[in-house]
Amino acid sequence: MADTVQKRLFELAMRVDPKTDNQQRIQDATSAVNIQSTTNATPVVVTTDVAHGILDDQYVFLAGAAQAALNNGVASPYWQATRVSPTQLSLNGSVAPGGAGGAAGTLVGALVGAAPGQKYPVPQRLLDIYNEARFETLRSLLGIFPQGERLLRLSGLIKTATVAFVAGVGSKPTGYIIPVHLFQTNLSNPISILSAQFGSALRDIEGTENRFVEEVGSQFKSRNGLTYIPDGDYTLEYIGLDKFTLSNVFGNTVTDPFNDDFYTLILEVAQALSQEVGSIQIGALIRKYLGVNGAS
Amino acid sequence: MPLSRRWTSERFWKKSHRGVFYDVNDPVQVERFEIMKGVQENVVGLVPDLVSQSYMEPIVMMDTNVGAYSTGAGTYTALTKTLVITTNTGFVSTDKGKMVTFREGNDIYTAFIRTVSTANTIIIRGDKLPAADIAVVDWLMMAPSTPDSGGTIELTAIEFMRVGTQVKVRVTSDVTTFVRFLPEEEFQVWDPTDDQHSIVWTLIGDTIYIKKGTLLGDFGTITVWVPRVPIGPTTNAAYMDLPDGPMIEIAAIACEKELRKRKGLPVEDRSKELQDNFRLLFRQFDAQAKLETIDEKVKALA
Repeated sequence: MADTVQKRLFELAMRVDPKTDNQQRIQDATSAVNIQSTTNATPVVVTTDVAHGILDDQYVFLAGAAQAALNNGVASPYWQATRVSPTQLSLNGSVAPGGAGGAAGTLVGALVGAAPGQKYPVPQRLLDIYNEARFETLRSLLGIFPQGERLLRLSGLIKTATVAFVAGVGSKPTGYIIPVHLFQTNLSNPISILSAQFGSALRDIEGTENRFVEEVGSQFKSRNGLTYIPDGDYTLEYIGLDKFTLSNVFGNTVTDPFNDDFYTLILEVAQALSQEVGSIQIGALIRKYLGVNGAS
Repeated sequence: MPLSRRWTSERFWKKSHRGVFYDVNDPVQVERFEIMKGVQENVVGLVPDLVSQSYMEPIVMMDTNVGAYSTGAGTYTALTKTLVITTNTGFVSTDKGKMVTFREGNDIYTAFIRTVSTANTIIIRGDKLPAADIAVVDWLMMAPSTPDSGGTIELTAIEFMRVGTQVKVRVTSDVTTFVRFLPEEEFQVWDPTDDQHSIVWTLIGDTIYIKKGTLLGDFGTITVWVPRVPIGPTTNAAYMDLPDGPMIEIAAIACEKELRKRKGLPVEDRSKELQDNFRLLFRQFDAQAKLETIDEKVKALA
């Protein structure tokens, strides 16, 4: 079972930026405590079910609180708190939300991606590095794995989308990297997806059981218009990779589709990227990790 | 020896690329029919004298001036060489082999009818057919290919196997069964009063010269039989245009080799298999071949 993006980012933070700019330890949702109540006062006082461990001016992240205005998100990623007691703290700068809140939601101290890190004060940077590591890893893996092995090892990244073709032209889905299959009703008559260089040479031999489209920019295009690719919806299976957003991190439900055996590799690559290692060395690192020789 | 009705192109392709992985987004997938077509022509070209009989096809030379003409625009599909067009009489099965001429703008094409599919659909053959589809075929005429008054039949425009120790052409007529080939020297001195019921012919270059005996009023309907070029498959269900047995095995080896070359994979030496299959092929056709002849053919595919 793949980990959530939050957990993966937390693991990365532990390697490269484990503390906030005020020396608080970065956490993930496993360190959450439950909110017992929130006051309708200025500032708001939060009571937790067990000791929260937060000191003055440290970062907290609230999610699922009864008073929605208190919950953090991309626009307002954290509160700084003032310790009131082991199970109580007040939220600096908060104003009375218009009502008291009951036992709902959780509080995490210095949630990864929310609290400013010591090395990366803007948390988005850490996520950017993680995203870059995933793309860098995928790029290398596509070059390393032979065709027959590629789809098996990267099976988690295979997605399905519907592509509407009109006059022989259809749009690539977001995050599209390379094709697996394109077909209309079944796989017995697949449509080959070729790079643009082949189209003019193969145009004349295209037929009803010998169809192809070319990749041109953000589109798939048939050289013969709709002659062999009639207008309609087609099924595309493809290897795709989307960048994660901070919302994905905070929600803690989105998982990384990369096959689990590359989990450590991606963290290694991300760590190397955070140390500003160049892409040639990154490629070498990936090859070494996989026990493959040769240049990337 | 009839041609295969067991080996569809799909089955043959699977046999040929066993062990050579490629995915459906490889250009080879789109080129597969062309590859199979090329392989067929190569292997048949290696043993034309042996197999040409299997590819004999008639071209009817009508002793009449009545032809047919289109009554509206038509379409042409380059891949399958299919013409769809309505004519004043409609196509009938006996039109197979007749010559058609059709126009697209300034371009005029001449071809022969290979298959009459329906009253308005024919599959044609020829050396210089359009490379691309034609959305509007302006007009078409089907000619009554009559031998001219000089007794000659032009084969220049006809697509057939021009390989082998001699070009395999046969001529028949519906007015006499006495139709004989004569070497050029004998043809020149042949006396029509000696052999009054006969038609004799000779082939010089791409022209058939033809003479008739004095008791024959005309040549009748002359049918010229030529060994056609193997037809390349264009669908998965299309049959390979090869005889079953060793020829299929030889073609499959040649096809796999071509595939390996295209994929940059090492080509393994399968000379022994090829030798065995060529030997079986000659035996299949009740023929014999010297070892060096077989080796030459194996080398040609190596």
